[in-house]
Amino acid sequence: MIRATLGLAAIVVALTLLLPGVSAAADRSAPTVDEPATSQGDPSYANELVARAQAAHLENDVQWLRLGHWHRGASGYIEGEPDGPLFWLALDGKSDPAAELEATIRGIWEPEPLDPRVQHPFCRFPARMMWLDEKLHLDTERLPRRACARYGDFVKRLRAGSVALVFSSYFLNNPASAFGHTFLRIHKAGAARSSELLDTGIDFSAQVDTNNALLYAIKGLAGLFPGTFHSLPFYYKVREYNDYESRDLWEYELDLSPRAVAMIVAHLWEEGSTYFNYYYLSENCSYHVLAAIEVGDPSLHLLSHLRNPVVPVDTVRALFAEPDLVRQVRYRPSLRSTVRHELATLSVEQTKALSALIVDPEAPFPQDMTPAARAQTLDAASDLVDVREANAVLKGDDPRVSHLKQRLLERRAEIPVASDVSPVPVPFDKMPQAGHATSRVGLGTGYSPQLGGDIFELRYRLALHDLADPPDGYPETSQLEFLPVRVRFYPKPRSFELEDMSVLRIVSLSPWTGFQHSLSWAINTGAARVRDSGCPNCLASLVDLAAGVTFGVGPNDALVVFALADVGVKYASRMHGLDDSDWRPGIGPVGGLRWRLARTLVWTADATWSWLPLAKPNGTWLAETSARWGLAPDVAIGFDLRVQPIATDGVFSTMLYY
Amino acid sequence: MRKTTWIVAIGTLLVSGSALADGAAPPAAAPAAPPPKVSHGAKYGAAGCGLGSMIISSGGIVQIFAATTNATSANQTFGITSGTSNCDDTEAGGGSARVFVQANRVALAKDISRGSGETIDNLAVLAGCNDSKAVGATLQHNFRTIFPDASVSSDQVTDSILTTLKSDSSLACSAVDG
Repeated sequence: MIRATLGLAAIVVALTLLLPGVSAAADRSAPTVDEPATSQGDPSYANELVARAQAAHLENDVQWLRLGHWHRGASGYIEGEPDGPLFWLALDGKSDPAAELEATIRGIWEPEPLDPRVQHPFCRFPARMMWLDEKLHLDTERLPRRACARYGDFVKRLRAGSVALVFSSYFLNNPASAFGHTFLRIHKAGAARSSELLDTGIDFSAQVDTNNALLYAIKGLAGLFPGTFHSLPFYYKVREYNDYESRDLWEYELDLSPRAVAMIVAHLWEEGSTYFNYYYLSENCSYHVLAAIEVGDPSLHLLSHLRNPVVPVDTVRALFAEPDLVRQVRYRPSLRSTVRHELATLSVEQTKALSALIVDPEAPFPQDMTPAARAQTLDAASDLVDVREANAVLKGDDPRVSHLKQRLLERRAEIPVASDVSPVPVPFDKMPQAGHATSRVGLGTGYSPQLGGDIFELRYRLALHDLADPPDGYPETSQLEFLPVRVRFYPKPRSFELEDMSVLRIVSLSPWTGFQHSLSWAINTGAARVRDSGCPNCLASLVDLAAGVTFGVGPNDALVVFALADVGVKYASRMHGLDDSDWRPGIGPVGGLRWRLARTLVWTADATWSWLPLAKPNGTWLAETSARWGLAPDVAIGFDLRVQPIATDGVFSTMLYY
Repeated sequence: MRKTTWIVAIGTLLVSGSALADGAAPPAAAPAAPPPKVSHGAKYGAAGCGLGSMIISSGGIVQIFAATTNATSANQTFGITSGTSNCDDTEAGGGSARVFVQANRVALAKDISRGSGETIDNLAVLAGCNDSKAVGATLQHNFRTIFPDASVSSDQVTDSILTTLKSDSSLACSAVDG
């Protein structure tokens, strides 16, 4: 069966290679048109194939449904996800797998397309053809003889041997790196690990046509951007993510049969001829990348493990739900992670020399420093400059930086010692799939003397992670939360009320190092109960922005302390705000700490004071502390205490991540 | 990669962000020049294959949203069926070496100064050399010839690298022409 399937693919590629002029080694341009068929085969064979396909009910075959991305939508109707017209051969193909199957078979005998840029169906859908061959054992003598030069060139260029899913990690200080992202690396058959940069990267991304923030958000949510697949040398992805965006890359090498790999490559070609409306929350990049893997093998079930919203790390977890699918996990540290490691291995003298070098590249070394030590210092210096001046290095538009880099590299090259690179230790505890699950619910019970006594609390969070959650799998000092909500029931007096909720709550703490003074910042937008005399117990909408500094104490930032300046505004209809209006702006300091006491035990505390101009009261404050202990991978218990001008409350809760 | 519906509310508050955003930069960076026609044996330039022309830097608030679409690479250049561009060649040969040098320039310069590194290993494959350690040592020795100053063009860098490798017959690099 494999032989027959690969045989068909081989015929396509062989015809491509035999046709004169197409594969001349020196002519590197890809063919832009396919040659017409050189024979028409037996047109009556189409009827026979359609009859056999219908008799076997192949329109319900798992792999056929995956090839068309047909899913039952919320309405109960089947719809195929691809939205570009070239993907559908039947008029109603998008909603009818059976019609599309018949049109695909008959499409083999379709006349040449009028527009030479449009591929003939036989060449446009190599995966469908492979699948048909496997199911119906096509008699190639009776098919039209056709060479698919463009597809053949694609297969040749990829030379696919194996597939890996690559996850680029979070780096909150760069907005573009705030969320994880996934793409594929198609490894060249027979190539060594050392030439991995030459592998092919496949990604799915939206074609964005606006710079207006509001339009961007609306179009992305409503599926108004077309999303397309791209193939490009893997080195572009490494340079973009590792170097420019400071993101670590985790590569999950998959154990797939040669047939599955060939099917994946063939289907990527099919997907290349169309687009998918890009929906941030569901049909996003990581969804389509996972779907592209699933197409290769009908026994794999990957998409079924996903929920909406589709979060990239959940697609990585889906890989592990299939036994033995992930053959190996590899780690590519970002330049930032590499620099951290390099700086940690320098001696005191080397560190001093480095501080001088990054300011004055001609700074001399101490006489007794060995060439190897000098080389190591210069290596760290050039990497540090690349991290600190990423934009200037990329664009080459800052002469001071360019000169600095040039001199550092020249001095390094004068030391004829090859760098002995000690690899960055793999942070196994930060493997993304090792983290707690994406959503969280919690039940709590507590007490507050001022709020009437007992408290029962229900918490929910749609996605991600806060500073007190079990730290494995997530950045150590970052918090990214979507729709955290707390609802309380007070038995005395009997009342149910919303305690607080946020649309988006982010805290990004970047501890200062000797060489990097990064900004720490926080943002919160949502609503919360006001517990001071300005509007006692009323629910106020709020927006808060804070920025400042963080310092780490001890190894791996186990303890960090931070100090931020916070500016925010609250709104509530009973508020005694600015000039007694409903709006109450405030500004003031926030200070706090986060201490990871054990692998899954975290303690956080913070206090804030705000000056409320022209309002009553003139100032307000809040102090809170939390302790949380992860008992099992997706279970945690915690205690939260909060002290505010008119009320103090404490709650014990149990939380489940799912 | 995901955004909640409520971000629209923030967007409303920050609609002025569109004024802050760099309105002049077009969202999709096309390569600097259309791919030149390739004739038999002719060299072709790798203009536009550098990372800088690939990365879309939309300024201001839009950058945050860019995280959700990851629209950072030049989409037009690397569409799967829209035909390859110059920048997509990874088979051994001078042309692919040229593209590699331009796209990996910063990392390559560092690795050459160090006499070792992943970009040297990959460049050795593109140049058809067997011993990447020896290649690294030779290139490090000739760093100043290859990178005489910060502003040398990537094409010139490639030429110097290929010439250096060709002139050292002990390296036995088989794909250094073109």
